[in-house]
Amino acid sequence: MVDLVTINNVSFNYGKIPALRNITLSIPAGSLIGMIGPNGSGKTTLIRCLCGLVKPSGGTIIINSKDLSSLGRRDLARLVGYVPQVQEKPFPVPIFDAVLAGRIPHLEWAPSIYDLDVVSHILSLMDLEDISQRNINTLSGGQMQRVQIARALAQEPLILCLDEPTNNLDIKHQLSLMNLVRNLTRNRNMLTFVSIHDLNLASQYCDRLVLLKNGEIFSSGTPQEVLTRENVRNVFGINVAIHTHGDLIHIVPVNKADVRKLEHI
Amino acid sequence: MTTLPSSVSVSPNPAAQHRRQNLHKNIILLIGGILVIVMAMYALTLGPYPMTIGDVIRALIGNGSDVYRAVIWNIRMTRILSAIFAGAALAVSGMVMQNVLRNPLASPSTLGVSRAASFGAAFGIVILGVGSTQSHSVSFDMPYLIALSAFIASIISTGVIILLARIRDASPETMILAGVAMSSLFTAGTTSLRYFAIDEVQLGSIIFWTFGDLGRTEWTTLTIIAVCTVVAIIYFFLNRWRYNAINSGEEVARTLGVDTSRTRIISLLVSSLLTALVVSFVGVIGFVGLVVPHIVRRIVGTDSRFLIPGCCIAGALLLLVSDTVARTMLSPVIMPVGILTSFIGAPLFIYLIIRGRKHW
Repeated sequence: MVDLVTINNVSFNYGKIPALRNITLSIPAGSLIGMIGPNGSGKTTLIRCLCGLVKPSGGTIIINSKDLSSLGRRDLARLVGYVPQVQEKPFPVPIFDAVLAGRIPHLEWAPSIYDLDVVSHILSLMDLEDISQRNINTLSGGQMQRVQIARALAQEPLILCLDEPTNNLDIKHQLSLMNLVRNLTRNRNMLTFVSIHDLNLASQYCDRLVLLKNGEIFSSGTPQEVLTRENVRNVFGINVAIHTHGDLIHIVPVNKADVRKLEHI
Repeated sequence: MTTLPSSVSVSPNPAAQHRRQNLHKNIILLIGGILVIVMAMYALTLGPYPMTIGDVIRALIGNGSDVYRAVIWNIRMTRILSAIFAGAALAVSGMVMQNVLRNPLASPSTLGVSRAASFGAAFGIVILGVGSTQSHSVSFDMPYLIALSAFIASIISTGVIILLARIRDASPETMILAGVAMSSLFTAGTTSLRYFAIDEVQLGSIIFWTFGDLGRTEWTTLTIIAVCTVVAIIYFFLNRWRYNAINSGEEVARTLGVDTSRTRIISLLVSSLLTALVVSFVGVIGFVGLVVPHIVRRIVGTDSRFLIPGCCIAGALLLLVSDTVARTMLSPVIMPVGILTSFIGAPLFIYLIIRGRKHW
């Protein structure tokens, strides 16, 4: 099986400061990839490289057997959808129009019936159809997040990148968002990258995790393979206890003094 | 490839609603367009030489008395068409500036275009010595030279802002701050030129120039303004989807395939040149570029497909009504419309802040 995305020896520098070094990954379609790691470890930079927001200083990113650096802006926009961490405050538009913006890479003069149908379909998929004419300034954080994802889906991308999508959401919305993203990834056979801080959430929903430290991949694989006590201690510098419940793992931070107590339980 | 199932139209509701909304917006634009024509016809009847609407129509189609035809074609028509084109140009430029800078306060005045033009005009009057020769009255002997001087100053101001954006970054913040800096620099320049003016006539000319007045145009200047306005509006309209993308946020727009820096710089250049041109010929007309886009957003929304024509229509209508009021209110004294728009604009803007703050 040909992998949808192949990242080959990618590096990126902010000025002289290296942000990514020798990133090599190869991932098939249909998987949800969680990028984890401390602040400044390169999660966001890697996502920005994948979306074409920044150009890697070295290495290649191959999407669907096309070199990302050889693609035009619009071609790339038809392949990769992006959901940023913070939504800049725009002039108000109805939800429908905000999602219709996702069709812009496909538009010539005006949206076709097909374009409008794609938007309609995605709005119902995202449970936004009943409020499609509401202004986006009136939405809650969770609704806004869904609108952003809907816009990215309207691009009909093969790759979806979400930068810390669960920030600013309460636990219920965090869970429903991750659930939604996982289902979308599988049903549409996309490849989705999320950068995420919550290790439990990441392990619960992601098919694979990429643990970054100082711009390098420290470990990658299934959540069970990546989230070990040693890895977490080496990358985050904290001690954790890891409990296993069937397929699920739970990570609980502990003080040194508490470790012994927990190990007794 | 993610394709949609063939039974896409499970729920055609949102798309149908969207189409219905668009139809409403088109109807509103059509009504606005008709209002402009009606208002223009009415304005043609007004003035020190009163006419009926019948006289106006007869003069327009080439009948009626020579006097009527002369009054209509040589005096009132240029003024009314100037109001329409200048109003459209200022409003649509303000809208484009607000949109590409994603800042509700962007306008020809905040970006320094108006102040630079005022400085350029004052420079022409004082240093180049045009405008006050023997006449001993406030007049502009060489209007083209003053206009050229004003235009060049505006280009310099815009050029500095765009150059700064190139050196630093093309972020909206950089550009707004640069505009504020250039504004105050040019204000200082104008103030010192006023100080060095040799006589009251020069001083009067400088001050008088800053009151925008549509009576200064004749057919040649009007043609220049009209052609440039139409070309710029076409350019803006071709960019409508890019403006919509930019409204989704800077980074999102880039991942939607839009070169945001390029779009921002060229759009700013075109809108600045257009306002510079208008201001150079008719003087400073405040608030139209700032207030009209906000009013139109409340009526037809933010979608540039409707906002661009909406701003053209509303800007034309506002300036036409203002000018008609300004020239008939204190008749036979004709008040410069720039004074009136500033009087209407400021309270209108405060009202919009109070009522519509949730909009941004």
